[in-house]
Parts: sequence; C-alpha cells; structure tokens
Amino acid sequence: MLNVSDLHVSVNGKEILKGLTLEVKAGEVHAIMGPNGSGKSTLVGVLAGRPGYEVTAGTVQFKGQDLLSLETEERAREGVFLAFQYPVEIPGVSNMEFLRAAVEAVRGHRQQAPLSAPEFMKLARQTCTELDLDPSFLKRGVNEGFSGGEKKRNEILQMSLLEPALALLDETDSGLDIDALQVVAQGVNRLRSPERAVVMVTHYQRLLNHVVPDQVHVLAEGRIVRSGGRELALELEEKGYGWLTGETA
Amino acid sequence: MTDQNSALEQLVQQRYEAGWVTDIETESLPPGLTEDTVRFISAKKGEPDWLLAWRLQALARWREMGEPSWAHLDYPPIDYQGISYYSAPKSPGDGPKSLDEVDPELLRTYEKLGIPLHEQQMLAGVAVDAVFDSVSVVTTFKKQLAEAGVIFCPISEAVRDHPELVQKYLGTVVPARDNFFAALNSAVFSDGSFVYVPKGVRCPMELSTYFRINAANTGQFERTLIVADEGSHVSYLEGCTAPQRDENQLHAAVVELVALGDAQIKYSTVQNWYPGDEQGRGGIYNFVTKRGLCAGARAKISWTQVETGSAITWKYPSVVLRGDQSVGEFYSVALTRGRQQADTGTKMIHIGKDTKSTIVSKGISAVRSNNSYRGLVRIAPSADGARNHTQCDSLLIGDQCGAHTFPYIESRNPSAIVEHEATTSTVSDEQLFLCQQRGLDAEKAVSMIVNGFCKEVFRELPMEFAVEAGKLLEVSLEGAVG
Amino acid sequence: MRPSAQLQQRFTQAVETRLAALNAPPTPSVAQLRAHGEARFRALELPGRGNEFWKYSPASALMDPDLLVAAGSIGAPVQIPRLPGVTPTRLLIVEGRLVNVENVQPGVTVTPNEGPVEERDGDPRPFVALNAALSEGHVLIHIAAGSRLSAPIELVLAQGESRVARSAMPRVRVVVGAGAEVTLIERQVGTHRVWTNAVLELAIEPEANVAHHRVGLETGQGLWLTALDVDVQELAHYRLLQALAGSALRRNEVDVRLHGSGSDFEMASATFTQGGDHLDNQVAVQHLASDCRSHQTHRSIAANESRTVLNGRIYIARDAQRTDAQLSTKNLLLHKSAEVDAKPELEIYADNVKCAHGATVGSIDPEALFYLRSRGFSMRRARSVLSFAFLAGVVDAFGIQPLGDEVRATLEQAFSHVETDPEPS
Repeated sequence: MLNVSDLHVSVNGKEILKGLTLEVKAGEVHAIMGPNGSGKSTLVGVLAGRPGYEVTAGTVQFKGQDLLSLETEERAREGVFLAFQYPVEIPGVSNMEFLRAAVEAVRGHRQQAPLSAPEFMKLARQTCTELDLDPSFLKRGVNEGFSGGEKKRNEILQMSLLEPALALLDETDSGLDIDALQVVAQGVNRLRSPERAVVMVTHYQRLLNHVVPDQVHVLAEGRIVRSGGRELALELEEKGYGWLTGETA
Repeated sequence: MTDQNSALEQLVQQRYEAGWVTDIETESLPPGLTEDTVRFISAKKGEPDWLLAWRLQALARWREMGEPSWAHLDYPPIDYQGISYYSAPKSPGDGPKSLDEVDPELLRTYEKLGIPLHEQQMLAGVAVDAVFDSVSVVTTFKKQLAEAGVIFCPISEAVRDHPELVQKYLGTVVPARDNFFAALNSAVFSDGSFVYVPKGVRCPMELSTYFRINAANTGQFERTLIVADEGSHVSYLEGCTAPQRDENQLHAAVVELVALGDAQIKYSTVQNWYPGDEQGRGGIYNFVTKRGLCAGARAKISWTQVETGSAITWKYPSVVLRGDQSVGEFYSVALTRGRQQADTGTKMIHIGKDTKSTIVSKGISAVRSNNSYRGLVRIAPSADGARNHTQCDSLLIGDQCGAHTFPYIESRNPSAIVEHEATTSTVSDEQLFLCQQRGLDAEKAVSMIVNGFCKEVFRELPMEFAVEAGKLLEVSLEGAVG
Repeated sequence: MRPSAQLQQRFTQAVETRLAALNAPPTPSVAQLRAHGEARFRALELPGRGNEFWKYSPASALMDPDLLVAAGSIGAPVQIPRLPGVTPTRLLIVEGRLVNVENVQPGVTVTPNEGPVEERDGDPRPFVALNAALSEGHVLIHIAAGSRLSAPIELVLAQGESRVARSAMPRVRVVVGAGAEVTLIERQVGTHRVWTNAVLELAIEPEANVAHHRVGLETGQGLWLTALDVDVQELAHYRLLQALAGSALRRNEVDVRLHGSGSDFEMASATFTQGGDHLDNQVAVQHLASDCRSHQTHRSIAANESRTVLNGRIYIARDAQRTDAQLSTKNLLLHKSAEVDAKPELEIYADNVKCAHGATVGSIDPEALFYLRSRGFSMRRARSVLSFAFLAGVVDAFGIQPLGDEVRATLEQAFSHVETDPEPS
C-alpha cells in the first residue's frame, strides 16, 4: 500500500527527515512514536501534501503510484486521509456543506454513485450519533467554536465518511479525555479492514491500548531508529526515549 | 463638570521645567531667507561647492512647494521671512576643541538640563553631542569612539573630514524635495550629528545628542545622518528642550538613518520642547522628517519616541524596508496637554521579501489638547511574505480634549498580512474613585494608569532614557490635587 | 490618476454647456433645486491633486466632459431582476427619472418633483452640488409615522439600454415618520458607461426603524457615485446591509449622523472586485448625541487587477458621551495585481466612550486551503468556497431571504470564475 524509501525532507532549508524508510501493507495499523521535533508530523504532512515541505531525496509509492507527484486533492481522492493535529476553523462554511462537498469529490473520483441529499444527511447523522456528536453540530461552521475534543471527533467523522485507503492520524489522541479517546479509537477500529491501512502518529502509548497496532516505529532525528511490535510501545513508556535517541547520537 | 473632573484637569496642568534662557553672546543672521542666507550659512561652515549647490537646489524646490495641510493641526500661518536662520554662540573660530574652551555659561546650561558633558561624570558611558541653537558645541568621548572606528561628530565637521561618506548618503533617505519642511531644512541646516559605524562594529556606548533652542526668533534646522555599515549595531538617543518664550519658534529637523545588511540602528527620542502656556501662547512648532532605510538584508531600524513637548508636533519617523527580511519598529508615547497639538505616527514601506514591521502607538490627550496618530503601512507588490502589526491606543483625560487615529493601509501583495487595531479609553471617575478608596491619591492613581498604558513603549527605551521618560510624564501630569 | 488643473477646467466648461442646455424645470421645486446646486457647484473646488477625500479613487474618471454631453434617447430600461415571493412598493428610476411606481402600500406617499429640498449646510462635495444643478427631477417618499409596512420598498436605480456615454442625476429623499418600520431595497442596475451621480437622503424620525439593503453586483463600465446622507433621530435604528461588486468606478459616500440620543447604526458590507474593477466605500458616522451606538462590519475581496477602498471615519462630538462605536474591516487580497486600501479613522472629542476599530489585509489562510484540499477539494473550488465563506456572515445578515439567496448565488457564480495566482500563497 505505502512504500516510503530513503525520504529526505527539508523545511525552510533545514533537514527534518533524514532518510526515512517505511513500508505499510494493506490491512496493517502502524504507530509512529518519538520525541517532540523528531519529524513525526512532518512525515504525515509530506504524505498528505502539506505545502512548505521540500523533498530533497527519496520516493513514496502509494498503491503503486508516485504519491509525491500528485496534488494534495488528488492524494485525498486516491484515498489518503490526514486527521489534523490542529483542525482548522472555517467560519462561513457549514460542516454539512463541507462534508457533502468532500464526500462528493472523493466518491466522484472513485466513480461511486453520488449520494442523494437525504441519503447523505442520514449517513452523516448516523455517523454523528456513533461518534457521540450532537447532530446540531453539522449546521455549525467547520470546527467553528468547537472544543478540542469536538474538533478531533469531527476529524474522525470525516474519516468515517470518506472511507480512505490510508488514514494518517496526527496526534489525534492528544488533549482528549478518556471518553473522547474511546470514541476516536472506535472510529479507527471500525475503519480497519484488509483493504485499508492506518498510520497513527502519537506521543503517548495510551491510544495503543485501544487501537492495537501491528507495528510500532520510533522516530528520532529524522529516521526510524527502532521498529517492533506492541511491546515496544510499553517499553518506551517505561524507559522514555533517551535510551533510543542516545543510540543515534 | 464634576469635582473629579476638575481635579483631573489640575492633575494635568503643565509645568515646564526647562524654560529658562541662557544669557550668552550669539552671532545671528537677521530674519529672512534668500539665496544669500544659504550662501552665508554654507560659507560660515566652509562647505565644498557640491553642498552649496545642493542647498541652493533645495531652496529652489522649497519655493515651489506649499506647506502641507493634511495634518489634523490648526495654527496661524508661519512667516518664514520673520525667522532668523542662523544663530551661534560666539566662540573661537573653529569651535571648541575641548570642554575647557566651551563658554562656561553654556556648560551651566547643560548642567541645568541634567546633561552631563563632563566626561568624568559620565558614569553611564553615554557619548554626547550637544547642539545649541544652530551649532554643535561639544562632542564627548570622541577618542574612545575613534578607537572602535566609530565616527561621531557634528555634521559640519563630517562634511570637512569625511566628505565621501556625507556625499554618498546625505539626502538618500530624505531627498531635499521630499516635503516642504525637508526642503527648507536641506537649504538652511546649520548643524546636527553625524554617525558612521564601520562594518561589524558594535558601537561601544550609547550615542546621544541634546538639542536646545535658546536665541529668540530663531529657527532650528539640524540635520542628523547615521550610517550603520554591514553587521554593525548602534543605539542613539536624542533629547530636546527650549526656553519659555511667548512667540512660537520653528524647529524643522531632518534625521536620516541608513542600515546596511545585518546592521541595526535603534533611535530613541525624548522630546520636551517648550509646549507653550495654557492659553496656547508660545511654544515650539516641531516639523520634523525622520526616516530610516533598511538598505540590506536583515537590517533593522527601531524608532522609539516619547513626545511631551512642542506646541505643534508634525512628525512621522518612518522605515523603508528595502532589504529582504529587514525589520522596522515604531514605539511611541505622545502626551499632549494645555493647547498642544500633535499629529504624529509613522510610515512602514515594505519593499523587500519577508519584511516585518511593528507599530505601537500610545496617545494621551489631556486638558484642551488634540493628539492624532497618523500612520501608513504600504506593502509593495514585491514584498512577498511581509507582515505588519499595528496597535494604536488613545487615552483621554478630561472632556475637552481630542484623540484621533488616522491609519492608512495600502496592500498590494496577497502573501502579506497586515493587522491594525485601535482602541480608546479614558481615566474614568470610577477608576479614580476605586484607587482613592483603596488609599491612593488621585495624582498617584493617574500616574499609575498612564504608566501602565505606556509600559509597552517604555520597555523599548534604553535604561537611562526610560527613567527620564517616566519622570517627564510624571512631571507633565503632576499638579495640585484638590 | 489625480485630476489636473486642465481637466478641472475642461470639466467646468462642460458643466456650463450642459447647464445652458437644460430643459425647462418641470416644477418650481426642481428649479429651486437647480439654482441652489448651481450656486454651490460654482463655489466649490473640484477634487484635484492631493485631495485627501479622493486619495484612493480616480475623480478624473468622472470628470470626462463626454459624460456631460446631453444624450438623446437613453433607450428602454435594462433588465431588472425581481425577487420571487416579494411584492414590494417599487420605484423604477431610470437615469434620474421616475418612470414607474408599483404597489404603493398604505402609509406610503410617493411624490415626484415636489416637496422641500433641504440641503445640508456646507456640504463640501461638488458632485453632490452637481446632482442638484443638473437635476431632471427628484422623488420624495414619505412613510407615515407609526406605519409597519408589510412589504419592502424597492428603489431601483437603473440605466437605459443606449450605449452612448452620458450621466444621470437621480435624487431621492425618504422620510420615515416617528416609530415607523421600513425595509428598503436599493438596487444599482446596469453595466453601460453611464455616470450615475445619485443622491439619497434618509430622514429617520424618532424611534423609527429602517433596514436598508443595497445591492449592486453588476460589474462593467458603469460609473456609480452615490451620496447617501442619513439623519437619525432619538432612539431610531438604521441598518445598512450591502453587497456590492466593483465596476469601472463604484463609490459610495455614506454619511450617517446620529443626532438623537440612544440612536443606533449598524452596517454590514460585503464587496468583491476583480478584472479592472474599482470599488470605494467612504463611510462617515458622526455621533452627535449621547448614548448612541454604531457597529460596522466590512468584508472585502479583491481579485485580479482590481482595487478596493474603505475609508471608515468615526467622529465623536464633545457631547456624545457614552458612545459605543466599532468598526471592523477584513480584506482578502487574492492577486498581486490587486490592491486593498483601508483607512479606518477615529476622531474623538468625548472622553467617556468605547471606540475601537480593527483592520486586516491578508490572503486566504493557507492552512484552511490545505485542509479543504486534503479533503478532496480542487484548488479552485477550495479558494472559491473560502472566499464565499469570508463574505457569508454579511450576506446571512440580510433580512429578506430571497434577496440573500440572490446575492449568494451571484457571488458564488462570480467566485467560481475568479482568476487566482498560480501558486497558493
């Protein structure tokens, strides 16, 4: 599904990713952990096509095509979804209007039949209920005046509706109370299927109690310095990152 | 009017502490401005031909120009032929070589002003150039500065000793034709300070000029030029006072700053010219053009001003941000009281990429004064990624004064972000009552509120000046509390 | 371009020629209006170089003598939209002449060419004087005290179909009696090269309530200069909601005077310019009495080769204690060939007031753009959606649903064609 090979990325002339290699197969859930500033957000940002990054070397293959040559929206339509760490507020655009346009754009690209307005409304309301979101929030501006938890749940709502092939979660768990965390975890677990993959960037292993990853990677100073199973996350929690980052210093 | 209000009015009664006249023998030109006046000044200074030609051209320009009328100011017409354009203390031909040669009366004047000219008293380590009426009388710490390669001298001396530097930069930031008052200054400027900081040099001490207008019917037209070569740093302080006289006196100065690549200039002013009496008689008309050019990449120019004096203030210290990533700052406190009128602010002209400017303006109006902020932020199409933030606050004390805000925002680049905010507040009876109820007297309360209001700007002043500025505001606001 | 002395002179000559060629006035009231205007026009100075009031707009575009040549037939009125499901009292004014009045509601009186023509003393604007001097007629609309009108009053200022350059001098005075409630719709319709030099006066009596919707969304060669003078008395409430596109020149001079204590002015303005358009909003609010409130929200978008100007002046007189005056202007600049000029001004002579203004100029938030694109929106669509969202708050404030829908549809259509910079900034 996703093949990242020797990826080097700079921001404002400063190299952040320094030769990162990662393979994610369909059906897998990967967790990327690491200290602040290690390049976790840069990795998912560059995969989703956030402007401001310069890829200086390396390749990214997604479903057999060169992901980096695609525009941001083309990646989205091909099935790359980024759940933002800081979802943007867009006053003046209603959440419903926004979701509908996004779903239309993505389904249209996949040559799926468009949903009728009532069908879409029903689906959106139902998904809201599942995510413990008041349906009134579909009428409000996108993320406008939402609490931190609501914003994160809104990301999961969008993910559920867009049914991506590859979901990238950028610290979606940070700042959530335990109830909200469970809602997010359920959303991710529901998405798990043999055709999809998930990459979760997280600072804490707490999310991994609810979404059990197939692989855990530790990112430090722009490279993956250790990969392992679920137990690696527990080890990290116990020992911190020092013993790993020390290895690369 | 409530008792509280009249107490407030008394609080802001002016008391001008620098208003005496120095009895000193001067050599002055009779009033009037002709080509001969300009030739006289130029000859007196022993200037080269190019400078005389430049002055004469400025005079010709000035004669074609009209006095600007857009400012929120109201004053009777100025009789430019009724002003003397040259007045100097009579002293040995070449000017004083050291303090021993300076007229003792003059030294006493500066002592009264609290300006330490005696180097042995200079614990603060501030080099001073003192300009009395039209002539620079003494510059201290020359030797120490010379060791660092810094040139700090009267501009007349710089014309003689460093003509290549003066010719290269004079009028490049403020051209003679720039505006009516700049043209006038260019024609008749008599002295002022010149600073050159060579490449990579961090000026070892604060540089300072004190200006004083003494003679009657005299205009003061000083011209300051500061050039900071690549990677150099300099901090410059300027202070001004004038005697208390019933007639108005004109002050039309020009200050030009040039910061080359990676250079930084910090220019601070405490302006306390005589503001006139409470009926609006007398006081200085202060029409000043101050502008800095960030000529190279990452250059930085910062203006800080505390304006408490002058009957009329017309002054917009500006920065032209030509170098990429260059930075311009303007921090201003302007206090008007009595019948003072101030129209002051800044211009930030963004030309280079990723240029950044910050404007913080605090206007305090009291009694029957009018205080206007006027500022321009212009983003040229070339200024990709430019940023400006402007915060402009007014404080009204009493119900007979005016506080005005006239920002001009002109943006022509979609990647630039310009933000402007302005607020107005007052020292309310309730606030005063609260302070008094908690045991503070009204005077202390107003002073506290005003100081808090100005904090952001005072923080930018060099330490010696911050103390002075705080004191100045306190004196300006001080008075008998009923 | 600032008008030169030569241009001023040629224009003045053209005015004299036109004055000499005017038809006989239809009524003594029009004769009086003309005489008054002529005297004032001669006494006033035309905008020239260095005129602060015309700093950001080319007065020279209006001072073209060709515009003053008396046109022959102006042709039939251009096509004028009608609101579905609304039956307003409708006045059709084609190039200064009242040609049709429909559905006059009880409480409303429409009188052409009669009634007092009151001038504000000392109005310094020569083009306002010119409107009077060259008047072909004026209209007085009176709304009886205490009326609660069930339908809006729609005032259509339209051009004729003729393509000859010319000018028109419409003048309308609306008097809203004490306690009356009125919804007013004003439309500026037409794209031909006609200088519509309009003067609108609103006298709002105590406790009256007026919601004024102003729509001018056609771009083109039209030169629209509108002076809107509003006098608001005690406890009256005036709302001005406008949606405007640029034109060759569209300039609104809004002068609201809050004369009575406790009166209230609200303004919400959405504007959009592109492709050579020029739009200038000159809004002056004068707080002349205590305890008044004025709140203004301006949202403007300037796309390729266009210019948007706002001069928002708030004046607080000495006696206007306890004033609450706010102005917010936010501007989106979408293209390097566009320009936004904002000049919010405060002039304050009273100390116990709450006054603030804020101005921003910037582009579409790159993070919002990325957010939409990462959800599958094309760049063009994302920009269009975000542009519309920027103005949506103003359009949502429109009190008449079908008018809001019309504005929304027109703006969405316009945004889908906006030319943008190739690179998102």
